[in-house]
Amino acid sequence: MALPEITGDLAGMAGASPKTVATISFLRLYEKYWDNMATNPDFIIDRGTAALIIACPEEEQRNRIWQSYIDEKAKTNEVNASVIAVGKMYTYMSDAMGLYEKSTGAW
Amino acid sequence: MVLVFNSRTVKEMNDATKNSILACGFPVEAYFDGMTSLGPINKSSVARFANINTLISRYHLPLPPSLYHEWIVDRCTGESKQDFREIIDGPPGAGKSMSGIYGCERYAIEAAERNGQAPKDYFGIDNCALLQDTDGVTHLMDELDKFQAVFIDDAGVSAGHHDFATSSNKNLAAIMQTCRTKRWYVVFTSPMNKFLDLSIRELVYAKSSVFKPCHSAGFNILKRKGIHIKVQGKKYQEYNPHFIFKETKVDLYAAFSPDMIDAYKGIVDTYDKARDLAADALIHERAGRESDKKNGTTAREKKKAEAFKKHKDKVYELTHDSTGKWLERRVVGFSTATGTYSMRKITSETGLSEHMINMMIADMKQAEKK
Repeated sequence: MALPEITGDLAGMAGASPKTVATISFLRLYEKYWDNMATNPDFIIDRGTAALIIACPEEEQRNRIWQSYIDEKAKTNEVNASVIAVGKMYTYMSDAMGLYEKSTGAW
Repeated sequence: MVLVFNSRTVKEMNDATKNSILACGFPVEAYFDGMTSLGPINKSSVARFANINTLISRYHLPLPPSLYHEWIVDRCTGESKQDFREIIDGPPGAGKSMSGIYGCERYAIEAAERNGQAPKDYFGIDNCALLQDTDGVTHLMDELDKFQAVFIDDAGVSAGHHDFATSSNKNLAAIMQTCRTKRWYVVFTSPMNKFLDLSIRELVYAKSSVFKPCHSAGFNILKRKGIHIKVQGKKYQEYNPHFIFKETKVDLYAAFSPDMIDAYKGIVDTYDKARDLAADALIHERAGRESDKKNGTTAREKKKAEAFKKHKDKVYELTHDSTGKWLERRVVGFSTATGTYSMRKITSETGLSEHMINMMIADMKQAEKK
């Protein structure tokens, strides 16, 4: 299935499961974030990070990640804080959507 | 001496033990969590787990807490009045028996620690049924106390699916259905779980399979899942969820050599000898049965031959007069008639059934004609 633009025709994915639609939408958001972080010197990191974090469906988790961004920004710098926060967000989304399954061993 | 930790005693781990674990490169937090993260599920995760367990067996590190067996002890000795049954399958020689015995040992150690007793009060070689038929297993269960770990090796012999409607299997299934009050932890092993009778399989709560035997390193890696039977429409559907401990889904388990635990040193030798004897006895018995079948000698025929041999003279005496002539059979209502024999008298004196006596008489008459 071709990935539709985030602003494009999501209706084209009518046959896809909600999980697939959500996964593709998030990956599109991350793609835009990565593009801007890497190439756009005018990218407003605060806004870009906020736009990503706001997409977190779980309120408690969303607040925690945003707070960690603010704290880290005060401690170090904007880029560092953004990378850590977006990384956390990606881990959370990956866990929530089961993008990959973790293995655990016990005795 | 190999220490065996549980989730309570591990909190009191001293610095020397902690340092020795760290020195071996073992992730010490695995002791406190009772589990270890292996990254994404793939072949490498199995290799990672194998490497971790190799460190334990190579450097004789303490055994980490077994959250699974602690949970079983909670279940079997707690207030819920439940018991637990598990089946381990895997190809012959994969290490099902050793993994099963190790599990029983961990259960026994945990239960003993909680109740201030010795592990052997909960599990020993006497709790193992080795290649026994249903009678042997039911006999073993008859003798065991509450809260015991019971190990039924090669359960296909005692509860095989080929014998699905026999009275033996029905008896074993009845015991399995009602033994909940005994609060046992029962472990079955079988090369494939479908070798077990369906009703026994449906009474099992967890199934494990030997996923990666690592015999030379002294352990096996098992996959273990729960069994939930749900009604879907008009069919029974089996679901196999992973066990979840501390909100983490666990998919791989390690089972070490049963000899590794001090309380059970030498159990492997004892077990191997007992199993060899059991295998010899089973092969001998089955070979005898097969030979009897080939010669046309069934158990019923053997019983008949024995009865003939034992009672033929007596039946002859009661059915013949002093000159050796046949007497007439006494008809009901003429019990005092002379020169006749009484079937009731013969049955009461020999203990044989009327059918058997008639067969004996027919046999005698045919022999006379010849």
